[in-house]
Amino acid sequence: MDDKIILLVEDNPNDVELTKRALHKNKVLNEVVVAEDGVEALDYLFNTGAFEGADNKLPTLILLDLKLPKVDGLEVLKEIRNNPRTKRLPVVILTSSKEDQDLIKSYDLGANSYIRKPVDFKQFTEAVQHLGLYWLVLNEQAP
Amino acid sequence: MSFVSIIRKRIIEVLSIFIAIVALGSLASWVFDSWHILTWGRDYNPIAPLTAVLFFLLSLSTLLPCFNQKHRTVKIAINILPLITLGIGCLILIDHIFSLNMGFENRLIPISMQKDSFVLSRMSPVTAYAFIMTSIAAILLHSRLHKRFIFRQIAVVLSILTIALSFTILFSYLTGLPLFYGLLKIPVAFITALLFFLMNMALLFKAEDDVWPHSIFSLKAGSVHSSAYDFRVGIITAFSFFALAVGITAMLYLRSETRNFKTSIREQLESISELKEKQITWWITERRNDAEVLKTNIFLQKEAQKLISGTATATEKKELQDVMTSYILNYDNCSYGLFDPRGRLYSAYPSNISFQDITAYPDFKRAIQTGETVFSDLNYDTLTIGLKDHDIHLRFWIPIVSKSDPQQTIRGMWLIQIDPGKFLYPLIQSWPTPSKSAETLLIRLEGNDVVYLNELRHQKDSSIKLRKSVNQNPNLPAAKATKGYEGAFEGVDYRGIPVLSVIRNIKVNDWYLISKVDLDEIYAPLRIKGWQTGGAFAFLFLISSYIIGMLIKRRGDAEGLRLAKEWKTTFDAVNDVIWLLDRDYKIARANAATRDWFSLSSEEVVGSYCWEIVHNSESPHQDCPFNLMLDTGQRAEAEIQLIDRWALVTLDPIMDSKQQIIGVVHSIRDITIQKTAQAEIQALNESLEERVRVRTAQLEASNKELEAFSYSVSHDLRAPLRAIDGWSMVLLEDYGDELSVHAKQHFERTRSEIQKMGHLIDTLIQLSRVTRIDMSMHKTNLSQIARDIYERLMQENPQRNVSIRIEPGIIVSADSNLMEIVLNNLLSNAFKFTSKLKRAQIEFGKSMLDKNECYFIRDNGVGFDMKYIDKLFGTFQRLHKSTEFVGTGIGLAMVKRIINRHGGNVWAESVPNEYTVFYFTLREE
Repeated sequence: MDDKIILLVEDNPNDVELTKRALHKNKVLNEVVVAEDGVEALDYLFNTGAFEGADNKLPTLILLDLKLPKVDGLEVLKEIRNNPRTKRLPVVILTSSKEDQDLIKSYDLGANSYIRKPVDFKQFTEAVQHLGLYWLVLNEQAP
Repeated sequence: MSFVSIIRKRIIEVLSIFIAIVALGSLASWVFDSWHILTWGRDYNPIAPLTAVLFFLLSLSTLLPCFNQKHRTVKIAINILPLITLGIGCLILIDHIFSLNMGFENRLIPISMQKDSFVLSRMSPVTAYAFIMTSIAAILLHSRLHKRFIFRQIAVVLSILTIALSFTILFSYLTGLPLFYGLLKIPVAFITALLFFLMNMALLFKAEDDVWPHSIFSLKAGSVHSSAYDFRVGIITAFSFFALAVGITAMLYLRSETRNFKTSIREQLESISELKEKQITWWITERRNDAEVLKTNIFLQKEAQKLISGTATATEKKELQDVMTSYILNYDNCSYGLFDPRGRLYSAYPSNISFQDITAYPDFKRAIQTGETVFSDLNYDTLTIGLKDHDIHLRFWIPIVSKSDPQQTIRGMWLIQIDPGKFLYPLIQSWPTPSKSAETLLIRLEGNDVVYLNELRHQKDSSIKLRKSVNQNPNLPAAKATKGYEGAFEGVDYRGIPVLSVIRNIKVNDWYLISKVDLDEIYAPLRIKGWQTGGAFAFLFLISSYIIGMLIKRRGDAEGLRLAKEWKTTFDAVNDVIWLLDRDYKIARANAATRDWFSLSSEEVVGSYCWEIVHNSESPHQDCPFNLMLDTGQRAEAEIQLIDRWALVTLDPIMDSKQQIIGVVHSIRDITIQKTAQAEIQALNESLEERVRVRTAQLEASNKELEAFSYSVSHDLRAPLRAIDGWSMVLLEDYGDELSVHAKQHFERTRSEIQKMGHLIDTLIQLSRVTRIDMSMHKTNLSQIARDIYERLMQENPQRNVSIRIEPGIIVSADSNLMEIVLNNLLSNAFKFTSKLKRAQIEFGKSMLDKNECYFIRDNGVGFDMKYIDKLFGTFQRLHKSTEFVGTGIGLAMVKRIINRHGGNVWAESVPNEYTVFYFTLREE
């Protein structure tokens, strides 16, 4: 379980911290790689840009915010799904938006799950707990 | 077919049928030899059989078209029948005029009848003439010729002339004066005249209205119901009554004149007759007395005896001769002879005469036998030889007897011959007043014959020789006389001519004296009077009808002028060009606007075609509605662009009763302003579309912006909230032990407010979304939605005691998601504001409002004060404290937006703590 990496794509440091805390509190102790914008996330995944030459391990789960600087979440999702290396990675959209359009587009692009971040931190923590449990423990990865 | 034409047709039918029936009846009366049934008047003139046949044919020619005008046989018949009558009429007239006596009448109709010297069964030349006129009129009216006006007019004039002729004859019969028909050798029968009258009346009814005199009564376009028409009808009616009255007066006058005149003539005849009778009686008596004197004169007797016995001396012989000569010369005896009883002549005067064997004469024998004087009535014989021109004598046979002879032996015989030509005939023939036809007849009866004794005025060498049978000539005055009739008698004389006679019996000699005058002579001065009266009447009639015609014409002209002026002032007031086109589509009238349009005066355009004026072309313009109007027979109009303006050309056809176009109203309206305005509107519409496009694009852009804004809000406003909550939670978790209970409570309150704000933000997003999202209208069962919401609310608030009534089957066309938001808000509100009640009652239903369905949700909750009603649906407006009832103040604002988006309305009524009702309507599909 330790070698499993979670890629958290989130530009809001508060959310990053709180997400990490929520994961931690729920005993999800896997490495969390944070990408603060879409470009960074893609660079990490495809070893490009700042990660040129690095041999980054592919994450087991990607938590993806939609509203991101530079390249937005939906674009990132699209790239992930377009790349044969990453196309089978579970991507969970974790966002504040409850717009129908966002939901529809996300699922159309192949999002595995869509979670709206509740304002209530307790609820948020619960959601993260469920996520970790489901995607990292219960869910069987594609080989 | 108009009412008037139906009436006319009926009249023609009735007249024709009447004529046909009378004609057939007359024929039948001839066939059954009772022709007098259909006669009228004293002279018993019947309608001739051929006349009846011709009338029947003519009546068929007018009757047949009344039943079927189109049938081929009828068409041929109505042309052929009058031709037949015309032909026969011509033949008979020619026969009469040239006295050909072809007698084909009898060959056509083998019926003959003679009365006195008239051939009753023959057609009168006047009848033939009337047939010719009537037939020509019928041909002109029935055949195709009637399409030409001149032929119709000729036909009507012929008919009127025939009516005048037949009326004259009828008049003559009705007044009892054979003034006109009596002139004719073959008179026109009363029935014939009547049938001609009716036949030509039928033809007049047949003729169309445009001919004179019909045209006086006919209406011209524009004068319908005008006073001129009333005036015309009124004056003609009055004139007809006047003419009738004058006619009747003339008739009565003539009648009384005739009676008076006849009476005076009869009195004259009677007094002449009486005088003559006395004179004749006196003369005869005188002659008898003379004869008696001769017989009783002793001297003469003696001398005569001496002469016969041969004993007379020459002196005595001379004396006797002188006495006898003076006797002869003194009295109008013309000759004498002295015979012995054996008939030998001894003396005679004139001395050169001799006598045939007188012993053969029965009167001589009688005188010898009886010894009495024998009187021989006037007779014609050749007894006397040597008397020039005197073969008619009255004779006295006077036997000579000696007074003293007791044997009374006849010694000799005087024969005194009286020449009636000396006194009697002149007396009879003399007439005290000049007269062309008056004469006196002396007649006697011999067996069954009347013998005319005197020389007749109208027939030479007739005395004694003319005889007429009494039985065969009952109307002969002479025959009447022999039957003992005395006094005035109207009959037919020996010539067969009607006369007025006075009969007297001359008793002394069994003679009858008849004084007579031709009726024609009696009527001659009356005829002159009749013609004078008729002429005066006709003159009066003509003059007064001329005056009336002038009056009508002047009145009509005045009316026409008034109408023309009215037309002019009316249509000159109109700015549109108005032309009246005639039957040939030429301009007949034009109003003043013509000048404004075409720089031509109203008078200048009259007589031109409209296209010549409007388009300056030889034929209708291609856009002209003229041809369309001709094709459809209905109003046609078109907008036509002229050089400097637009014209709306309208053509309205004027129809006659047969739906034929008899004129057109052509109007032109300037629609340049409308056309310009129309073009402007079109341009405006185009620019408006462009503007709408721009605006729509702008709106779309701002919509996008709003979307982006909402998106940002939903993300960015929530993120800090979440962070605050998160960090507050972290603080509590990490340092909760170090915080007091109060501090923890504060944290909890902070977090609660954060949740509230999050909720607020969500609601705001929803509010903006309901105005943005596309609606999809479907049949939506509001009852079901309400039921679902109620059940959810009851699940969320299981402790509540709420009774709900939902009217089933409320189905509307709406966006079901949005309607769910509406009902959710309203029902949640109802739940919320009844939360303090033990028994909450909520109702969802439907009612009618001004024929539209409206839906309501009613509760018995706290309600609101109606004075704040205008704040009810405002965003973030709340009428209750948060501490009492939680809420965002967005719900009703959202309800209002959704209902408005559905084209409906929402409103509310409330009485606090009693009831609250929210109504909403939706757009009717």
